[in-house]
Amino acid sequence: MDLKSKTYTIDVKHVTRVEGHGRIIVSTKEGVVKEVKLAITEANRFFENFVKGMQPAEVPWIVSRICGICCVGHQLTATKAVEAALGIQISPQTALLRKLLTESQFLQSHVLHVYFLAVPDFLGVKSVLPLAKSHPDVVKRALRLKKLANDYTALFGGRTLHPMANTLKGFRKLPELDAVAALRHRLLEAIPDIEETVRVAKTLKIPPYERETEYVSLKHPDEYALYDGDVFSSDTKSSVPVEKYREVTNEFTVAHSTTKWSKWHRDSYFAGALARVNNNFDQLLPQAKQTAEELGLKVPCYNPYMNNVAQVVEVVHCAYNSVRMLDELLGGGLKDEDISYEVKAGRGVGSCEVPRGILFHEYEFDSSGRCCGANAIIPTSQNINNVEQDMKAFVPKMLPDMSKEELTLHMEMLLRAYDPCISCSVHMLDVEFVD
Amino acid sequence: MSTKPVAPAAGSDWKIVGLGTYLGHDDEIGLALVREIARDAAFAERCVLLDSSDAATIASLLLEWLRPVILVDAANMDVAPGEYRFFSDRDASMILKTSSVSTHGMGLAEGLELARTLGFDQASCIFGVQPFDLSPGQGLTPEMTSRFPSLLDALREACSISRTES
Repeated sequence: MDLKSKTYTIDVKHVTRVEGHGRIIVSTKEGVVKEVKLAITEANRFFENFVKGMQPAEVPWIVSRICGICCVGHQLTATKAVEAALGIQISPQTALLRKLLTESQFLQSHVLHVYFLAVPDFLGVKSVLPLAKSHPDVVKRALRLKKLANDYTALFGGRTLHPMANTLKGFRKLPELDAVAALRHRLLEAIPDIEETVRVAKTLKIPPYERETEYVSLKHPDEYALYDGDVFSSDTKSSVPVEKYREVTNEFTVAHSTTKWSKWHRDSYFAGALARVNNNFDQLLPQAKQTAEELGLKVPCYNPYMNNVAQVVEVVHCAYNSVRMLDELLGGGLKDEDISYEVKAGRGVGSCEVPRGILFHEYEFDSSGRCCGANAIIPTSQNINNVEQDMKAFVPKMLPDMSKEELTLHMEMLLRAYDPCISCSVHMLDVEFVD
Repeated sequence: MSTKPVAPAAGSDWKIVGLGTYLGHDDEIGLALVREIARDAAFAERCVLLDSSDAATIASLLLEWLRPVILVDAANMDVAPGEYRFFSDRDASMILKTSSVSTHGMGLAEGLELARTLGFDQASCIFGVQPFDLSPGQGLTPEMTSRFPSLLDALREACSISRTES
């Protein structure tokens, strides 16, 4: 098609298979891109106000409700922030249990994201429902892995969604070692399903578009950073402590988005699986490194569509690392710990990696232990600016070779590659009866 | 759609599944009813509560159990609030937004559809209750609370039929 005939207005008013409400606007005239916008129209959540006046232990349980998928990450990040505010130290046993909870969440979320949200795009179907008809084995495998990950979270968290076992300084309930051993066995049994997931990922045709940006993630000297670390930038090759997170996120507002945007050393930055793999590749387990090689993921990788591939790499890492941590737990046993603490005034910051990127929470308490200040900066808001920059860079490259429909699909796929997040609130069945 | 129980298949061993969330007022009705049914020792082992479960979880459990199920949930059926209906997922044309579905929006209807597509071939009966209020908040509304005994009787009757025939 002649480029000059390409006068489009693409307006995807509700992007599907993402959490919340996003709108993509692309306008071209005679082959020239006039406007590209990613508008976020989600209403404010007000969680930072909900928690004011609450006692320290209540805060992590409340804020886990920010997200139905990343509930573990929000809870652990808030727990760390509250502990920092009150000067609470945790035991190696508690740290290990929290790392297990973290990796259970990564398995849950990445399996859901890759199979239910991303794969349908690559296989040319609208959603997982037609995928179940065309590729039933793929969906059955996804359900098996999701169920395993759900049970993994429930074992350490007390339940799958919004766990209640974790609290300040430790755990209110410890798992039975027999159940821990059974989970280890199930994880090993699931390795063939994970290997098959890698094979499926290998067949996906990833759009070949690249844009170098700044990659931001946690970094830890001793391990692939998911639960703990400092904030690392691929631009400076250096880290800053999480307490300086406001110097990282530098939030600002734009007229077409209710979400605040972020930038650090350049116009935007990328948080998420690709950022973690780019920044911490050397600390992945050998099986995960081999998976990256099989899937053609070479660091540094500047293709945002490869975020889905990076998630598969992390699935492999988390599966094997979970077995390693379970062995450590089974070898050392578990003991009840004192989880009492003293209330005092203070302010603290916590950060964890959650499946979609780096997460920051900050809380302040007065001398009576009441929460008097809160701030949470989630990966979605950190990434949105970078998604729009990608769109602005890619649309002119895509325009000559793509129809309007293809261009629309590639924009939606790009957004889904970053951050389709679930946050269920009302459970309601809509039914239309046929007389 | 009927206010009479859908007759379960003879010889079946029905699971009784309560669905919903504790944080949306009458969205708790399915959980509350099945929690009450489970107090009867004859039913306890067959009862399952799925708090805030998504379609993937519902589908994987149906495929794992491979047993007939009564699914109890709040449902928008365009009837008066507090009324209940029994219906089969095969008889009801559910609004499946397959062109725009997300896991965010996937609930019971899509979970059942997913399970059916993947080989769940057992009978299923949905006990739907029209809610008064689904806004955020804990506890059933006073209006639903006043209807609770009659709803429980209707559900218990259906469960008894399925037990008798199992």
